[in-house]
Amino acid sequence: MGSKSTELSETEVFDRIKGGDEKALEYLYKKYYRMMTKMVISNSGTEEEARDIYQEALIVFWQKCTSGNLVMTSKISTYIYSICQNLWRKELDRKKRLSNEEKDMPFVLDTDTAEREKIIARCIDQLGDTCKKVLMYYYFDELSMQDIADKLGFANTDTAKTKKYKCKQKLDELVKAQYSERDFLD
Amino acid sequence: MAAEKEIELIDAYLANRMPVAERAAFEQKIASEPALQKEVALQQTIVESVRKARAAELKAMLNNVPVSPVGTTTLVSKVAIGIAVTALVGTTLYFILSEDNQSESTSEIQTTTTEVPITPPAEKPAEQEPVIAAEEEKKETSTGSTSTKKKARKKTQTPTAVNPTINVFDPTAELEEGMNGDEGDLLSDDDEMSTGKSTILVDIDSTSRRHTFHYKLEQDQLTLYGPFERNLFELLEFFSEEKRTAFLYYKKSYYYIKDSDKVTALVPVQDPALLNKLRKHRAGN
Repeated sequence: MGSKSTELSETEVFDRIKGGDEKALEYLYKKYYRMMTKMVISNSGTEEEARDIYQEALIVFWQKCTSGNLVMTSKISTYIYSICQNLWRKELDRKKRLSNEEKDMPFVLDTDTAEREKIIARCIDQLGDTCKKVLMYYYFDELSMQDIADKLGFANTDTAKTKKYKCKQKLDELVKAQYSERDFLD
Repeated sequence: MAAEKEIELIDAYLANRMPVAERAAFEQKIASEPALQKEVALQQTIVESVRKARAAELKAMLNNVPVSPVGTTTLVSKVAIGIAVTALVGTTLYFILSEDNQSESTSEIQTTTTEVPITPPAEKPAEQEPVIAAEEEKKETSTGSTSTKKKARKKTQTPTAVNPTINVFDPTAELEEGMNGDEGDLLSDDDEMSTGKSTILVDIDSTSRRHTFHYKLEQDQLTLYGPFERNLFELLEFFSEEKRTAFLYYKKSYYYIKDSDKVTALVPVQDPALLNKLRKHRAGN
């Protein structure tokens, strides 16, 4: 991406994000920060909540673009704004529900699920950087094998496929080893 | 442990890379095979964790992007506020400073506004008040965008013009001085008009901005202030014992001239009897 002041067209931003260009996401984040966070703040949200919602909305937008599941029919800002609105509505509902539940019944924490997630997160951390990236691009960004190969500098899609298979196998092994130790697998 | 082929299918299913038709069939298979169900559940937790880790990574990346908080001002708005404040201070200073100048120029305004109505027959100084007010109003309206504050300030100055007490030109006092008092007593029937050449030397001063239709007679020197045309005035002198009474005839009007070291406004003679006498004397001369 050029200098900070470089103005990108809508199509340019969209195409770059589709190809997994994180700098284009940073550009969007800065461009609409005030507009999006203002919506949450003016609807009884704090600035911290507003930032969280905006970041989540951008990540949803990112995932939809990179996975090829989005056809833009409106302006990018309009689309992101509507995601922000939906997310904030959900958050307000959650808060409301939570305050009602607090009155009615004691809060029950699902410790098993939390514990499992923690174990898997630790296993992911044990993978090497390339492995982590391959799996993230494959499962979250849903990039094509060609895009993964391009981004990570693999020779071709076959290399990318093999790398992905091996990395996933390693992660499964790590997780299953941890799970059996803690008797989650029965 | 599931077979390699099954692992690939589970992976394609969870990674949203399975065609829709195959997907439905695979879902049916999952529902009917508890072992597969268990493996899919485990794989789903792993895939979801990878996704969460990626989302967290992107979030961390965005958190490192420098943005100005909504509560604070941007550089552009800071500059705009700066300009606005400077303009406000500048305007305030302008008004404060111009207020001093205004008080100076007020005396000039008063001079012009009060002197103009003196030229026509101005018998009573009190009558000048509305004239001054009208003139002032005219000036205000001519300025167009004059603020209310400015108007209010000007209005408070109006009484100064009528009743000047400050050390500026006092039109009322001058008018009173210029008034001819009881004009009927100025000339008696015994007074004789000088038939010879006038002893009074006349000088015209048309440079004064303050005195536009004034005079000063000091001993034998008469100075006329204003745009007088040199050949259009006459001096009429009358002598009674050792007393000299002088009149100026200018553009069909007579003006009483008295000895004074002060510059005085010229006020036309109004008394019909005196006017008759003056006309008779002038015609007879």
